[in-house]
Amino acid sequence: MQDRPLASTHDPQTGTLAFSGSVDEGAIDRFRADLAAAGSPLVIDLSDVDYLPSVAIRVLVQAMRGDTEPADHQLLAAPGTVAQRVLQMCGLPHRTA
Amino acid sequence: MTRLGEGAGGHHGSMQPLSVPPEADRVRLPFEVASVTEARRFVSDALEARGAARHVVEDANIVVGELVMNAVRHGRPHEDGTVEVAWVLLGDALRFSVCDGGQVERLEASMPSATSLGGRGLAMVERLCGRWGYDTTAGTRVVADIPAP
Repeated sequence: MQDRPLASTHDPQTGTLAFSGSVDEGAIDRFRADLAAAGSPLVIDLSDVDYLPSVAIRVLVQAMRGDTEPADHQLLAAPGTVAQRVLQMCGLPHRTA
Repeated sequence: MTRLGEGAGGHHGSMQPLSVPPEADRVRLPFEVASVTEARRFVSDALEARGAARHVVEDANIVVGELVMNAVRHGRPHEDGTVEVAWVLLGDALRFSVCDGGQVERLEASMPSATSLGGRGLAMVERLCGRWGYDTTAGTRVVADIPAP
């Protein structure tokens, strides 16, 4: 399995930030930066993420917490995706559609 | 002494140690964070060559990724500067093992709250694995089984 590099697409009109690829240890800074750059509120779509380790969950939790007050983000991961399984097992509230 | 954790399959209380048989596929990787990706590739390539289903490969990546990350962040290298990763197909499970050269008193796999920053790695492993355990007789070896379909 070739790990796809992390990439993101931000649609400011719908407020959606969609990620693809692996949020591995080399991509975590990019993940954090893309989340910060997209502003708030966001729908963070992780459906096309291949790998979402606990370090990535930490970054997500931090992004949801926001700087001075909680950010109004929603997590989205389609059913059957690895991201949905990970969010579910970590107990992070998320949408599946 | 091998200690067993409570897995999703509820195998707590069993005294069956989780051993890694000699025929397991093993690799020694540098004791560094970059080895998380190496270890995942090692396991993914082997599983895909055997036609494993996508979700099995995904789960294996999570298990190996978290265990190796834990080892290189919280453990110590073996004398040769490495961390050992192994896997083997058993009758009813895919068994993964990560062994570093450090010593731990005890490993806990309780999932922190949804708003906690850290401490999820081993809990994720436990959620995916029917059984897991650790052995501190020679370094720290964490062994975890993904139920084989």
